[in-house]
Amino acid sequence: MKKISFIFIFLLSFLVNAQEKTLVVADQNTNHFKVSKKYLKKSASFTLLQGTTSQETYKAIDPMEEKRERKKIRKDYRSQRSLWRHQERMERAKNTRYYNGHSGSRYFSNNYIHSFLTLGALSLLLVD
Amino acid sequence: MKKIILITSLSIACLFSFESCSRKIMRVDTNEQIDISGRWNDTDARLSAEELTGQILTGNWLNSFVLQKGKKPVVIVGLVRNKSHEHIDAEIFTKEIEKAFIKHQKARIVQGGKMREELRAERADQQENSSLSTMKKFGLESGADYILQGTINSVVDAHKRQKVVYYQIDLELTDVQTNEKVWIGDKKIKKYVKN
Repeated sequence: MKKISFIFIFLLSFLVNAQEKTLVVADQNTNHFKVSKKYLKKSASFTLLQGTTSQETYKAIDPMEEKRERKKIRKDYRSQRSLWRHQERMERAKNTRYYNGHSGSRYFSNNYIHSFLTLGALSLLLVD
Repeated sequence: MKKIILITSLSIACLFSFESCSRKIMRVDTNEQIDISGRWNDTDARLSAEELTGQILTGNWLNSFVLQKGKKPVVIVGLVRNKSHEHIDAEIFTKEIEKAFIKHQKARIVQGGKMREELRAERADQQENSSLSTMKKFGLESGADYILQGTINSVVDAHKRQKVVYYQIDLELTDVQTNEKVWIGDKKIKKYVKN
């Protein structure tokens, strides 16, 4: 059984080798089969883009264009403001118990004042 | 009387105001040059297509191939890289070149890219669904002799309200077997824009 399989493999390798050799034309590099195998794996990624344009654009230095872009961003931001305000109002209406808006800042400001008062009192004690 | 005058004047004013707001659209000749923003437009694409088609059809590569091989060359359109600062689609002029080749019977064009994949998929479908007499076989496609590739480049020089834009479109035809470039064509466009 071992002998048969050995002969079969030997014959197969001989056939493949013979086939490869028949494909070689004059002056052709003998490594062509290896290279074609390598490129067959990734050819689809290149051939699928045939007839198309790959956009590899860059941003040109143009002050007028930049000004126009800034203006557009500002305009878009302004147009969104009313929507954001509406969304904020809706969120507030949904969650009435917890709201960390102005009250928080007031609390913070109160604290801030308190800390200043204590500092003042301490300084008076130290002066005395 | 006063009322009538007032109503008519108001209606005329309304009519004029509505007319000024309404959009005006009209068909114009496709060869007419209309520049609005100073960016790449249809006129640039048309000029590039005309120039490049003329150059490729009169190139020496065609005659030398026919003399050498005794048949028309097979061409495939490859990828065009847009390395400019604007969005430019090269298909406008590559399609014109393909059309010119077919129209003047100078070269044979083979399908590439996604459309070729679609063709192969159709052929594969035929292996299962078509009758044996009409079924198309695999492995009988025409191999391209040449591939058309290209690049689009631009240079921008802008200061305050003035701008100079230079576009250069380079197309090259390469022998698929030998990697030899047999033809290089270009179109240069320079624009002065004052805002």
